[in-house]
Amino acid sequence: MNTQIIIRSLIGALVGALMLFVMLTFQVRQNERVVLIRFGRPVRVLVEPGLYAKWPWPIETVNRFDARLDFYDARVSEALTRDKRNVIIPVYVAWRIEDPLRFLQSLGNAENARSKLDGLVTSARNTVLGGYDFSQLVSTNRAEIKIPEIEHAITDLVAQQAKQSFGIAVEQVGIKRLTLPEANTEFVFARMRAERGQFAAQYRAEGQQQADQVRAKTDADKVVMLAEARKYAEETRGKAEAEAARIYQTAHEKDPSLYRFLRELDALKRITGTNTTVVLDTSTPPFDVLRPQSKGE
Amino acid sequence: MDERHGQRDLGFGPAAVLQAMKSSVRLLRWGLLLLLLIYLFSGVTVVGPNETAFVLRFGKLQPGLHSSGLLLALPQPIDEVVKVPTRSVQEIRLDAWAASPVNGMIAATLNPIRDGYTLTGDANIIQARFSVRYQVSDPVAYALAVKDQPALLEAVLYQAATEVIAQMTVDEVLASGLESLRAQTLRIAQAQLDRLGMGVQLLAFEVHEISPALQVVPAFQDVVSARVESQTLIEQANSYRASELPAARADAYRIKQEADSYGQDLVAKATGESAAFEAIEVQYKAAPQLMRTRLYADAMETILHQLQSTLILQPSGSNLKLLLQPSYGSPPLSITPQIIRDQD
Repeated sequence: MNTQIIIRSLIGALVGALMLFVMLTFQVRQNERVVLIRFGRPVRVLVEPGLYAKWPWPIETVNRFDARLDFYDARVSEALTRDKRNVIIPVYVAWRIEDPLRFLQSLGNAENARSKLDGLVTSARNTVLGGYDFSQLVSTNRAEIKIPEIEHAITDLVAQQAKQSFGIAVEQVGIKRLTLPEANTEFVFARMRAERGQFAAQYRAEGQQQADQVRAKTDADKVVMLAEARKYAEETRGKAEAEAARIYQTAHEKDPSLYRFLRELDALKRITGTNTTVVLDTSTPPFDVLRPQSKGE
Repeated sequence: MDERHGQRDLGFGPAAVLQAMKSSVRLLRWGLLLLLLIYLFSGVTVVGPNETAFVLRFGKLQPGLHSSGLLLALPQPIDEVVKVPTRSVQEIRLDAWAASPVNGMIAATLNPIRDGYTLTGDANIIQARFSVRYQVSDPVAYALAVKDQPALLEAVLYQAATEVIAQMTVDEVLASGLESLRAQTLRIAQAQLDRLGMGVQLLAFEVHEISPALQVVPAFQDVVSARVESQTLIEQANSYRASELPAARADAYRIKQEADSYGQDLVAKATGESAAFEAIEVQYKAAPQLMRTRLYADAMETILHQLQSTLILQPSGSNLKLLLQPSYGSPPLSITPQIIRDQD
């Protein structure tokens, strides 16, 4: 009987302690900021995580804020660059609650924060873009691009106001895309097509030109090659003829009359053919052998 | 039967109810004890093989990271175990810039909100699909620093890609610069994520599809075909050169060879004939008259042998010794009879 009472009262004490614990304490999570409110008046701002004591509801209430980096896409709208070009630059905002008390007093919740931030970001973006040329947004010249600078400028501008007015730290305003008003895209397409047409024509012309060059060079090379060969041939022939003449001359110089005699015989052999009729005198050897002896005596 | 049952129930009623209550209280007690036990051990958590966990005690981060295995933590309001998949590689597809023709129709213009695109350095419109692979490198930062990690990651990558593409020409983006687009986007995005303290390590940024706006794709294709055409023209010219030059070289070689052989032939002939002449000359010098007669006779033999007709006449006062008749069949030259007559 006694033990049962002890056990029962122990259980009762435990349950009571648990209830008190729940009512009188609260936790601040590592990523949270808490504003403790007593009868509607903020009394404590808790930034450090851990376990804290409080008066039970309805005396004190706990207002928690997630202090993690939040992200949202700003509303898209047109802006004008310094050189009067219309651009549409969607940006995102990475922000977090830094001063929970100010945030609570000025905005209350994340939804309100977004719409307030939106106005800040839009006006900051338009202000900053008005100080830069279109060519500082897009350019083939790397040094001209000022996108990170523009982002920093917008971020700084927004961060300053957001912190002062709403207790929000804006960590980054980033440009997500570079776009143009819808009506302008048609002109861009026309220009792109014209550019491509130019490139295509240029490629075709260059190809033709290069091909022509190769052909012309081939023909020229051929002519040169053949001309050189002919020149060599002429020279070789000339040299050979001179050499032959020299050889003949050295031989024939030894007995010119014999040479003439042999040449004549040779010529005779060559001149006379089957159609030739030769009229000979009988004194011509070897026919002189036929001559009547009487005449010879 | 019914009556008897009723009587029994009535008779033993209070005792039975008491008995039932007693046993149910006992059951409840055991049940409570069991629940208490379950609660006490509810903090024990299994950390998966691809996860890393850390503990928040009363909301405060406890030092030490726990890799896969059993983690002995205290139950809920005291300890909170946060598990982060650190080892698995996660992928996000970035399709916001993809071309989206409505019902296969390509509109004349692009809406800056509905249609995703960005501008290149030479103010061309580019559409693309990317994906990014990443791993959590710092689980505490990943879980506690950023609220919607994938959304921020996505935004940062678009931001980086925008910045990189804005300084490239459309040709660079579409072809040669693709590698540098990937590398630079990865580098810029990683720097940005580190600055924001995301605790994420980017592994790869892939470009799945990148093209000019659908509206101008035909113009771009025309450039490609122009390039192919010009390449073809050049290749044709090159093959012309490749076939013509060897032919010309062969011709030149042949001409040279012919000249060489002609020259060699000529010299050889001259050498041969000179040698023959010199041989004869040696003989001739020994007995000139005899040699002369023999040569003459040889020649006459050859000549007369190949003639069809030979006329042999008595010598006369006339100095004419030889008459050449142009062709047989036709009458001999008019001069012939006269000569003969003269001889008569």
